[in-house]
Parts: sequence; C-alpha cells; structure tokens
Amino acid sequence: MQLVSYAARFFAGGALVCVFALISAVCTPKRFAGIFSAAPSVLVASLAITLVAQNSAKAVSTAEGAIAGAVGLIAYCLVSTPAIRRFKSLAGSGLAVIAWSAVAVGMFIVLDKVIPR
Amino acid sequence: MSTFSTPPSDLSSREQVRGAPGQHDADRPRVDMSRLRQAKPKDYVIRFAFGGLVSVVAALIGHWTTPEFGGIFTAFPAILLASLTLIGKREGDEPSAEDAEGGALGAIALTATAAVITLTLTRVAGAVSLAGALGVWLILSLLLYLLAVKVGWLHTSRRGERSPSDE
Repeated sequence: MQLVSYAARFFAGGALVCVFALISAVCTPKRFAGIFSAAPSVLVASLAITLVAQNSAKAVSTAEGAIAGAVGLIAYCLVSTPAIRRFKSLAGSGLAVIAWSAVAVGMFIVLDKVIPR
Repeated sequence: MSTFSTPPSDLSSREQVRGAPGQHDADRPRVDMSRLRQAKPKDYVIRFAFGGLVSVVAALIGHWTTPEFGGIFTAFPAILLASLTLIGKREGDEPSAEDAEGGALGAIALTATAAVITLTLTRVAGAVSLAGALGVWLILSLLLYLLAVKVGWLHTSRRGERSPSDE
C-alpha cells in the first residue's frame, strides 16, 4: 500500500510540474513566465496524496513545513538571480541551494516555536 | 528587492525607462501558444523526473522525521534548478536570471498558499482547500507581477526577451 502511495506521489508530482512548465513555456516575458517555475506543484500533489492515503492532520503538518520551505524558495530566487549572472546558470542556481537550505531550516525552527501544537 | 532590476541611477533616467516607447508592451503578460512547438520532450521528461523525485523524497523525509520537516522539501527548488539550468543551456544566462526573478514572486505567493492550506484544510473539504489555495497562488502571483512592473522592480529588457523566430 505504501509503495502505491509513493508511486502515486511520483506521478502526481511529476505531472503537475510538467503542467506548470508548459504554462511557463507559453507565457512571455521571461520574468512573468518565471512565476510558474515556483508554482505549488509538488506541494499540491503531495498534499492530495496525503489526504487520500493518510489524513488531514498529516497534510496540515506537511503544509506548515512548506511555509518554511517557501520562504527559503524566496531566498533561493533572490540569491540565484545575481549568482546566475555572475557564475552562469548551472553554478549560480546550484549555489543558491545553500541559501534555500539555510533560510528554510531557520524559518522551520522559528515556526516550530511560534505555531502551537 | 534590488535584485529585481538594475535601477536607473537618477530620477530622470528612471522616468525615461518607464516612459520608454513600448516598455509597457514589453512587460505586459502574454500567452503565445506557438511556443509550444519549441517544447523539447526531453526537457519535460527531466522536469517530470525531478518533480516526481522531490515528491517522493519529501514524503520519505516526512516519514523518517516529522511531517512538518518533510513539508519543507515540498518547496525544495529542484524544479527551479532544473528549469534555470535548461533555460540557461537553451536560451542563455540572462533569460535564466530573469526566470529566477519571476520565480521570487511565485515563491512569495507560494508562502501564502501554504499558509492558506494550513488554515483551511481542517475546516473545509480537502479538494476545496487545495483548489482554493491554487487560486490564491495564481491571483497573488499575477497581482505581485503587475505591482512589481508598476513600481519598477521588474523591467523586461528587449535583449533578454526572445521571440520564437530568434531561436
């Protein structure tokens, strides 16, 4: 059953990512298209499967963690923009993952203290 | 927010940029379906694999630690990383950087989306909560883009914007 749940997550996550990538591909200018690169594709796919396979309490917990990850994603974009211009696409976007990790984990620690359990 | 654009050094040049002929047209969101013809299946296979993998890894981390900690990884920038690298390879580094600038706006809206889901998931049906949150993300992203263009955080350079015939 758990294997089916992981397979469903893989296909739902991959499919939603492709849907938003196609929307991004037909949008212009590039900065507008970029919005869809940060669409909640994996979040929505993951939560939908969690709701079906587990329960809403687990889905809420996952969404709480996603707030921290999303704040990290803002930092990722703000850092990757100048980093790409300086170090090229692959190195710049790769280096910015450090910013995502630091901000996401930091925000997670803060939210863990703020959100009542 | 200074990374959104290269700000003009003085007010007069800022006004020149804002008032440049065709500038509003260049920044206006548009949909060009003909770009679909340029879509490379291999790129979408890579994106599908990245999206699927991140979904599974986030669930595994949530299973091994806590669902909250696993949730962080549902916003891991793997898809953005794949997109920026592919854009950089196919179109160049400047379009890739511009895509990341837009991504910051989408990420701000993503934060609000996750918060909306947290607040509504136990109060309404799951499908309604997720669909509503997707709607919030779309509307907020569009509003943020229009606001960013209006106040001058974003300006589309003509050299950075390629038409399909350029490629």
